[in-house]
Amino acid sequence: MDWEALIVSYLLGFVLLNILLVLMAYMTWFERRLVAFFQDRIGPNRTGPFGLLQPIADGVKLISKEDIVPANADRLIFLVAPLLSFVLAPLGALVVPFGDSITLFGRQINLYVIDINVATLYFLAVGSMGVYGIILGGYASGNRYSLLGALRSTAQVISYELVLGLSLVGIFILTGSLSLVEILRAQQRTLILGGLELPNWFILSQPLAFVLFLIAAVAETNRAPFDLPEAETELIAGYFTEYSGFRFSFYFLAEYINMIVVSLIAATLFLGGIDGPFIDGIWWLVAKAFIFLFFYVWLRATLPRFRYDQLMGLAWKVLLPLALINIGVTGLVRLWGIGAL
Amino acid sequence: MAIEVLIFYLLAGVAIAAAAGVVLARNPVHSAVSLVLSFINVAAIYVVLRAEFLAVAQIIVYTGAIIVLVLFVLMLVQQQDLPEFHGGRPLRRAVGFLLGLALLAEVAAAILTRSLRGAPGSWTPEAVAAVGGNIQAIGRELYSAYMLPIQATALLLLAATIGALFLARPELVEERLAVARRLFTISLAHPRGVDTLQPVAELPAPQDGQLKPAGGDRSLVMARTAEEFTEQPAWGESRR
Amino acid sequence: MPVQLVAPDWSLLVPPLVVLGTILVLLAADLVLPRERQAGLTVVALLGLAVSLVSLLAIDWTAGASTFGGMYRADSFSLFVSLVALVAGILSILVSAGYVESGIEPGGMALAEYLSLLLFSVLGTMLVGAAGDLLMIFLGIEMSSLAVYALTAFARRRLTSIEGALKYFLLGAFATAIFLYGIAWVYGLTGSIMLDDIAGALRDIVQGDAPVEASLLLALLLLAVGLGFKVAAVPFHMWTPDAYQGAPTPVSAYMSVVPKVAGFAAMARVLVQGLSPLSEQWLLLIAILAFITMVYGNVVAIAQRDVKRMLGYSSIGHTGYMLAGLAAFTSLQPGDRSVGSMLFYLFAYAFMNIGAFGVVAWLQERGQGVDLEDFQGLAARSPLAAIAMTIFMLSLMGMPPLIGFYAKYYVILALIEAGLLWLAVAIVIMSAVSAFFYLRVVAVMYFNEPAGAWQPARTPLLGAGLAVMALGNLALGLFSGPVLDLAQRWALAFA
Repeated sequence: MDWEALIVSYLLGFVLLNILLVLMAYMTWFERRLVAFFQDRIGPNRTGPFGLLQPIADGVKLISKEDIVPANADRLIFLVAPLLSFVLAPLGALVVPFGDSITLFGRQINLYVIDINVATLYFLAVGSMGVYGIILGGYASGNRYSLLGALRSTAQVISYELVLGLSLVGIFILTGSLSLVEILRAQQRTLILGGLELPNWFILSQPLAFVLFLIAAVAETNRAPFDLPEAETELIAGYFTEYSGFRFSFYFLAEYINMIVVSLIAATLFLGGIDGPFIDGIWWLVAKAFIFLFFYVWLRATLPRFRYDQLMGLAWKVLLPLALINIGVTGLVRLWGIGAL
Repeated sequence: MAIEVLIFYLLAGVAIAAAAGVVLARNPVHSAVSLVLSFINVAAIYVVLRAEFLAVAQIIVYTGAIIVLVLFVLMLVQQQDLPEFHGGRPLRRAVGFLLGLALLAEVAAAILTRSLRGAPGSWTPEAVAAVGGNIQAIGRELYSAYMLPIQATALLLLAATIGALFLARPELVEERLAVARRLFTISLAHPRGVDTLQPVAELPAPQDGQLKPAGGDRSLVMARTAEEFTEQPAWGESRR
Repeated sequence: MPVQLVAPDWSLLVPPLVVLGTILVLLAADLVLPRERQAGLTVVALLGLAVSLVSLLAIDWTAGASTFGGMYRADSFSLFVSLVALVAGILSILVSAGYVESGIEPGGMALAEYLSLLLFSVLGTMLVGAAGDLLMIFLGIEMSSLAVYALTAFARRRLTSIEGALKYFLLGAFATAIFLYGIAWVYGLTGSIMLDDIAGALRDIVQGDAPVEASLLLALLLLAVGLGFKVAAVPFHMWTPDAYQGAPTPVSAYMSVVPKVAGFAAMARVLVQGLSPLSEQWLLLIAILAFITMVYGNVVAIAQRDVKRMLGYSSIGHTGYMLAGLAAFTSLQPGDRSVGSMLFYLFAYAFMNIGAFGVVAWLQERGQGVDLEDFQGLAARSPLAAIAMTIFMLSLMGMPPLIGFYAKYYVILALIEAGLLWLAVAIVIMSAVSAFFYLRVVAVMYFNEPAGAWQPARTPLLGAGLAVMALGNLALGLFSGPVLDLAQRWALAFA
């Protein structure tokens, strides 16, 4: 066994996790400032310059609060569920390629933690596991609002996961691989269309899949306008009604880390990841992911929440058929050799 | 090599312990969670065996979808309605226990005296690597040698879907309303699904279409239609 | 490198493909036509099955050709299984013709879904018959029983229907798991799921007098138990009475035959074709199963007042007779009667049992219940229906010259040739026992006064179906030779 490669992978993973945690903290600041801007308010600006120390103050506050366990809670599951959510959230980032490879201390080091040939499926699998934190938390709280939130989230995540997975099949057909590294390489090629040189990004060849992925990803991360599991106005925060202190903060962290990971994956799958004009590099990936994060906040500030049956109808009656049509068309195009690369 | 064997024993041990937990737990939700744990360990064993696709498929399908649905059902059913898991007559339990023990002995004997035969297939690790990985290898096999079973499976699932759709389909609007008036329950706090926990035949007749919440703790009064609830029609549905 | 796609011989698959096409037509029609105008779908389904039946003629079954790498076999065995499945399907649809729309079941039943699920089950049974490997057998059995689970619950407002379906489904799923575990063991021990390869590998393993390995016995046991559930052999019969009683009557008629055909076809394929080198081990097991099944079914049926439930127990008894046919297996020589007698029994059973349930449905459409009392004085009210029911009861009992007699006769003949005299004697005794509850129905019809309200109803298709089955019991009994010859060709398929 190649121990050195293993250790390097672990180190990379560790670094990545810490970066994600810091990013997540500032994502909250970013969101609050941005939403405030949308709503013609100011937002947090007192703690530190531009309120930049606000996330740290929030963190300290949450950790120092009392950890309350309701009397009729299913104690063990109640304690474990938020951890589950939190641990699973950053795992998806492990397969994102942040670049090719660099030479450091005489060793060639790949700028991704792992390249498995089922990377995209792995991302979906981790996402599907993440729902357990929500269901179990909602169930264990012994509270009807929480239970309703958990049930909603179950149905929602299962429905939208189908759309999420099916929207990617077009890309698999075009690249012939499920590995994110391979998909990235396929996008680094150049497409020449009537004298016009275009990057071979999949947003151009799979625009429908991109839209579907975007919608499903928002639903999958339980964000507005699909935030029914935690709908404040009807469910009093849904599955985490009963949580307080740092256990609450775990759910909070998980939600934001999920957003960041999904943005990174979306940027890699559809926008060419690190590919860009001038010099390829990680900055392009960050910039693209930032666009998605902005989009998330923009949605939240703009759209009202869906009604439950609209949410389900949208997934099963609109998005799923569209995804299937997209797969069929892509397959035919590939079969007839027009899109073969 | 030794480290892989060690990892295997660790994973297998946890998987078996979790599987035992499924049977021994008194709370059905705990059983389901144990099952998830067992499945994840089995998936990890697949990874050790270099069957990544199988591992991920196991997680997506079994833990990500099937057990989630099991939990869904467990949460919809009221806990006191569930049958006693560890009940039963003592004699019956003893017979069951002995039969289980006999089966276990048989399986143990079979495993201890096993002799696996058959030549190794053509998919050696090199052949798998040559086509690009085990997804590609599985894809090739499925859509050439196993074409007929794949198509038959598709038909099987179609049949299952038709059956499930018929059994789970909400009644026609008028019928559904009649049922709803008698039950006064709604599922997931939305006005469409109707939760028929009690058999309709055994319920009191509707009182001339009046919406009158009867007693009991499950008494959420519902709107007659989704349109009454809000002004928006559902996605993909035209306004009636 | 491009993937080499298979180039199957589609002409061999014409009969199942016709059934599949009919299903798709039914589903499309359900989408397009409003509910009120769907009555014609019954005729569409009947036509589809009839065309499939005719298309059986177009294939040279004696050649024993196979396609999809040997997973689909068009041999004499698959011909007969397809024949029985299609005939039973047609008869069941005739029986259900008026019932589905009539509103006997509270809340009604959806015709298009009903018919398409029924055809799915027929299709699955045909696939089992033609399967060349364990995977296709598994998929075929599942298709044939999954559709029937849903059909059992089709009266979804009636609690007994749901209860029967739930028991059937849970135990069926359990049996499937056991069967799959058996398949896994067989694959591990022989390295193949193709039946012929399994037989070849086993021949090498069980040479000589050495005791058979425990693992082989375990595999055999698991497969036998799994299939035992599917054919409702005692002690794996728990679901049967409740499911038969709870299901809508035409569904009871159907599920007493076609899923059973699938189960027995799978048994023949797995045990006789695949595991024949282990026959010393499984023959005794099957013989014992056959004995306890026929005794239990016939004895418990005596106590039943509900005719559907009585027929459920009697169906268990008949499973015992069919198993006895299988237990008479000696070798894969053309002279061996065992599997042939079992196949003929299944064919005969379709005409007897669907007919009996058909009369029950006929009564239900005239406002009667399903208890013995509801048959009181039927002879006075409708002599024809009474005669038909009498024929079915006598045939089930085994009265010459009806088809039921010949079915039992061939099984007994096979048993005597195989030297299993005790089982042959058991069949005769149990037939005598069964006379008690079959003749009771006849006696009630002829010697009691009519009671209860009578609502006249018009059921042309059901009437025609009953007439066909009653005549079939007579005619096919008197001229059973050609059908039996067809069934006897099974040995060519397995050799």
